[in-house]
Amino acid sequence: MSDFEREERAFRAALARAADGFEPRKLAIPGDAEESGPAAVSSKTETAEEKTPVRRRSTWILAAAAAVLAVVGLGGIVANLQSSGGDSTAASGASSADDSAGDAPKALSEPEAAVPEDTYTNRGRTDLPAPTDGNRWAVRYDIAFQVPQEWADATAPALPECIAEPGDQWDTVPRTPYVANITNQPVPSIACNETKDRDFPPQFGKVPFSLWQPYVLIQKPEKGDTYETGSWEHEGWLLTRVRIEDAYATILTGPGDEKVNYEIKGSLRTTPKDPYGCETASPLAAGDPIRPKTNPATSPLEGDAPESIAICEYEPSSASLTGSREITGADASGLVKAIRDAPASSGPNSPQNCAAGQPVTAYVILRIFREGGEPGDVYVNYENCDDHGFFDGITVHRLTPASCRPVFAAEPVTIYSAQGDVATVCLP
Amino acid sequence: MPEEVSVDAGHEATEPDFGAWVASRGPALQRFAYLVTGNSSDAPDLVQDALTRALPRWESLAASGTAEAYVKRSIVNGSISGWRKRRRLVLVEDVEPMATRHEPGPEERDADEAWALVQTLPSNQRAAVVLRFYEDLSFAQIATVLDCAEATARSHVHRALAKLRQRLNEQGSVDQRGNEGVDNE
Repeated sequence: MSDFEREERAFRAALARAADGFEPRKLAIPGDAEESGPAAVSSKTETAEEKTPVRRRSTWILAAAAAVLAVVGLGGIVANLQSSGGDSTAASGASSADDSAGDAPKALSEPEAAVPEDTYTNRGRTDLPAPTDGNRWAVRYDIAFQVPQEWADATAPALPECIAEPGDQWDTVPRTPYVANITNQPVPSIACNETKDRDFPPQFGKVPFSLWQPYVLIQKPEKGDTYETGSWEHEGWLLTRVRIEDAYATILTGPGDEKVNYEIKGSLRTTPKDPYGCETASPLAAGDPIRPKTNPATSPLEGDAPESIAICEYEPSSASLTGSREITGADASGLVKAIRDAPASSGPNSPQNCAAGQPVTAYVILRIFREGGEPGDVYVNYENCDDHGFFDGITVHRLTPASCRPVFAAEPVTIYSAQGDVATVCLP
Repeated sequence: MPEEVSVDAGHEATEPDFGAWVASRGPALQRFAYLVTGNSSDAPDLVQDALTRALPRWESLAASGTAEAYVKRSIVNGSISGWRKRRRLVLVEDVEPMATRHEPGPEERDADEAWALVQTLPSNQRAAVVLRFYEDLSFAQIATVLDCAEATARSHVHRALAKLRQRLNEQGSVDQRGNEGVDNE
């Protein structure tokens, strides 16, 4: 007999009651499309399906799923938030067409087909070894570490109550395990930094317990500052903070996941290059103009279709990589073409609407990889008042929706601040 | 009670046809998705997405008898990443039935507390609880579905039980104090 008889009974009753109150919808079944439309389920589907090619069935189901999304009014938003053809330090690492949404599990009996294709170790773009099965590498500054593949990249507020509109303040808290972004942190309301209703140790921060999610946060303290290191436990959650070089890594994992905590901690290391080929040290320091320091003989925008493009976002003040992701295939080719097709001039610039002299807090380098060649870099300047555009060392191209939106289409590469004209063309 | 669930070989062997399998298992999979997400709008979409991913591998999944586990794992994975699609939306939970004057008994109150707890659990732990107490899977089967160690599956469930016990005890203390207060008046 279980020691938790009452609790088990309660769970069973609660789940059975909830399930009974749920009305399943009719699902789209292949083979029924031509006869009666997406919502119908026919007892004749078995016969129809036998005549329907597999590829056609897949397309039909996708269309049906999209229809369901449209019905609940999410279609446009989902379309905007789902980046296509890309991978990132946030993404699952799966790169097959079947797994592009990142939710497909490993097949239980066909490991070869289900293991995500490794996209970097066999291309020699980093010194990092292949991650252990089920994990991915994440990189913040020059600190690399492995987390479970399903962990996202996300931005978390230190104190949700202090985040003003837009949106619900709780909506600013990630709803999934995550690697914390360095940039794009929400700005708390002025003079809002206290709360007295937290009943857990202060090392765990100020996010309410009910909203906790496992995370990894890499911080580089201001000069002279130090953070407390050690391990703390609360209700089965394990918080670990360790120092690595000049940074601190804070790791929070949920009940029963101590092993995950130890494994993340054990994987921490410094690296000169991230998995996509981005240098982890910024080639530009604070005050440098956002453009290549040397001019190439030919533009990196010219040549064969790129194999991949590493989108590397840097912070000049710390001269560090703050986020990165990768796009490949048609998306990479499309981005190169869009930049090349953009007018050969800087812009959009509206210095009359801008306070000049502010330091640049972020910029992007697009590192274009082609088979058998050295990568070529295109610098993207999108902050402050002037000189906006793509700089390949030979020509500057204007930021346009077609060329700029793919750069900022997914976390962790995001725009923190920009002029209105730039935001209009660059924000998805 | 939930429909019979199996993650071992042989279950799909009698239902090798994808359409028939979807027709048969669709409602149960949606209930599972609903319990894992707590959102009746997301559940059918999650199942549909999971089926889309299973379709290209259907032959091998059906042959190995792992389709059910594969689809459920895909649903759990989808529930974890779903926040990314919804993060700028304010979710509105299903409307509760009109309150009645019915006074819940002790077991009903326990179930209320259990459901409230389930909705706060992290996705994987919540899925483990659903698989254990709704699907009646063994810890080994739960580990297979969630792609984790059996010890992890066991730990997920045990900690949820411990947490529920704590909440029930706290609730009992509150009720007792409330009753004492009435008595004293």
